[in-house]
Amino acid sequence: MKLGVVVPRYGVDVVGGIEHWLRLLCEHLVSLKGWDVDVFTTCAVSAATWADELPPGDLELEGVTVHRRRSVSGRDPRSGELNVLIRRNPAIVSDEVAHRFVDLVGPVCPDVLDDAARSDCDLVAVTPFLFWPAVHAVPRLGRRVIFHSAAHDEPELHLPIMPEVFGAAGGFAYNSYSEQALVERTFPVAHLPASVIGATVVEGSGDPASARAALGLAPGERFVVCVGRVERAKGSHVLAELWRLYRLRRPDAPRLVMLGPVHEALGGDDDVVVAGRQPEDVKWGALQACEFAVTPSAWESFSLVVLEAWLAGAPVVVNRRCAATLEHCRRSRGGLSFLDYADFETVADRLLNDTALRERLVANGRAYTHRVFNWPAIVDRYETLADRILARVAQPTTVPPA
Amino acid sequence: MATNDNGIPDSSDQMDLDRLIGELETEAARRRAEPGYPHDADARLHFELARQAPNPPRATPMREVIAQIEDAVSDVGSSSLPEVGAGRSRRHEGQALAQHLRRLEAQLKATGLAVAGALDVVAGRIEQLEERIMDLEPPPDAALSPLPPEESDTLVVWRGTLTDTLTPGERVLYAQSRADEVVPELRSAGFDAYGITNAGSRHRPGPDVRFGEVLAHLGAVEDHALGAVVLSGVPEVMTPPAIGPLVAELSRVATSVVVISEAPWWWRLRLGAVDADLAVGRPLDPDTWLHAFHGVGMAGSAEYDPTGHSYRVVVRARE
Repeated sequence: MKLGVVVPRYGVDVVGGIEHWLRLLCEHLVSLKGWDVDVFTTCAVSAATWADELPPGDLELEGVTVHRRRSVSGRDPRSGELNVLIRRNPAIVSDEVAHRFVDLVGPVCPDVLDDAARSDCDLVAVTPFLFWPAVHAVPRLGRRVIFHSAAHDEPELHLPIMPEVFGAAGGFAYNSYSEQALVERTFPVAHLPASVIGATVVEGSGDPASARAALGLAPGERFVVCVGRVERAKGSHVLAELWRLYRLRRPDAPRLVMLGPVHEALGGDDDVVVAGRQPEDVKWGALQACEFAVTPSAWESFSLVVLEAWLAGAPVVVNRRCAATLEHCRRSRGGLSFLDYADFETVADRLLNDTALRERLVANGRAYTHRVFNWPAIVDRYETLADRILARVAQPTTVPPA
Repeated sequence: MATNDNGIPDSSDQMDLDRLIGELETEAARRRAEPGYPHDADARLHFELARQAPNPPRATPMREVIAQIEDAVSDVGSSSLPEVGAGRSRRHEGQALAQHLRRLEAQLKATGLAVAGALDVVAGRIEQLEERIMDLEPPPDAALSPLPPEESDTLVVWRGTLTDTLTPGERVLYAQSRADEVVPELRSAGFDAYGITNAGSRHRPGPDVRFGEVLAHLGAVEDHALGAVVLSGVPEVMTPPAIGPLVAELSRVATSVVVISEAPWWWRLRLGAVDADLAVGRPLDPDTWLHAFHGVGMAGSAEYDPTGHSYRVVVRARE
């Protein structure tokens, strides 16, 4: 099998859930299944700008051939203005406005699409749905596409141009059952091959003492951690406010550490430590040392950090508005959730004062992660799905309209 | 120790954690009712959390109510206050009025959001319980039947000749009796088959057999996307009002349909006249299927097995 992959950014420096996971998937398909994998991508590292930071050209990374091409344009700040309009009611914007918005969001890189279309790849994985490459690659490549839509219920999903994108794919690799349910209640694609592949992480290592030192915490200091990009859409700012209120009512409570690249400014203070981007060993050390990890985002299609927390030994608290992270907690019995401050306070009180409960949640979460999201199981599921899609590639549609 | 599909020990653990979550929610509700509870801050944070989140799926009337409350309170105070006169006393009067209105707005928002929050917790809890019940019990219609039909026996009769009615290479949806076994058989016979069943685990991975209800699944399928749909073990557990929508959806998505069902008289013989008449899932007469399909532009024929215990209806879209 020769698999192509169209993704806006790719590489060890790329921080981002779906892109990071896709790189690991590519590497495991090469090492465990012996597939040839060709990645068609831009020179970008940052999703905030899509600026060409890496040199264009072809190279090999861990057995994966990577073709990097320059973008015609990156993320245009004017996309924010259109975003306001789209958020109001995405379903009623015209196709022209929707395409204009996607162009402004970027990265516009026709060379990536040309390379993928010209390639002799049997199938092409495309991700994620909301950026220019996917919006244009899926209709162009059609039934050869394994669409990793990474969809969550955000306004872009309801743009009028999206039915054409989703309807053109050969099949779907979903991150969660809730993502599958969302896509299938939004687009008539339930007859296409689809599988919940999930994702997983490579367990890292770290040292709690070193992590505390790197984060500016006192030796042995208790803390709660939130790992991920710091931005409003990820819930970082509202979590900081929740924690400040919590510390106001519980002055002895530990501090909250926000660990991840800061995309939207968030001031730190006595209650909240904004640590910024940190090396992997600091992240793993922090997850090992923390009392629990919070994932406040409601816009997740999978959330790798939930699995990372369990593997490192931290129970998780998630936003009940997020179907994907709630699905992890319910399936695993490894996490708790909150909807408002009262929930949050109650859950935090309980976790900070009940070691046995924390251990029990972690044991459940870890068992779930190992059982459902181990690499051999994931690449087996992926291979089965790819076989089904490949078998249908020759058929433009199953049955012509009566 | 036995584990479930998710690798978690199957024991009282689930019950314990459900109980714990219930306790936490009760405790949260108690705190909301405490005199010193920070309602203003909670309302503001609740609003922020809701703003950075997708709208919940409108699956239940409860969710509709919650969304309506949230919509209503988010509009409170959005209209500007009327201008007051230029005189000093009138200005003071106006400021006092504006202050009063702002307080009122905050109170209304806090109350509305607290009610919405509480309802959301209840709705979430109900959904969670419904999910658990789905995992534990057979589908409701089947449960109402005093004696479930021997659908596997019915299938045995027709299984060997199933491919006679299908065109190789076409996309076939098979629902639902023994889908785990029949779908691979169809695939190895050269059909692009996949299945759906509501038996077993909802977390069944794989592209060939999905977990779910047939009618809901058909609703998410593109027009004319399927060559054929085969229903086995479905008709016996459907209520008469569901047949119309099912037939309409089948005609929309598929060129041909095969219905395999137990014969009504055999059902009646096994259950007795009274129970058979009262059973929700009693099978239709094959002519009833043909009549229903005729109404949506499909035509075909019915055939009983040699023993007469079961029948097969095969219809195709009329040219």
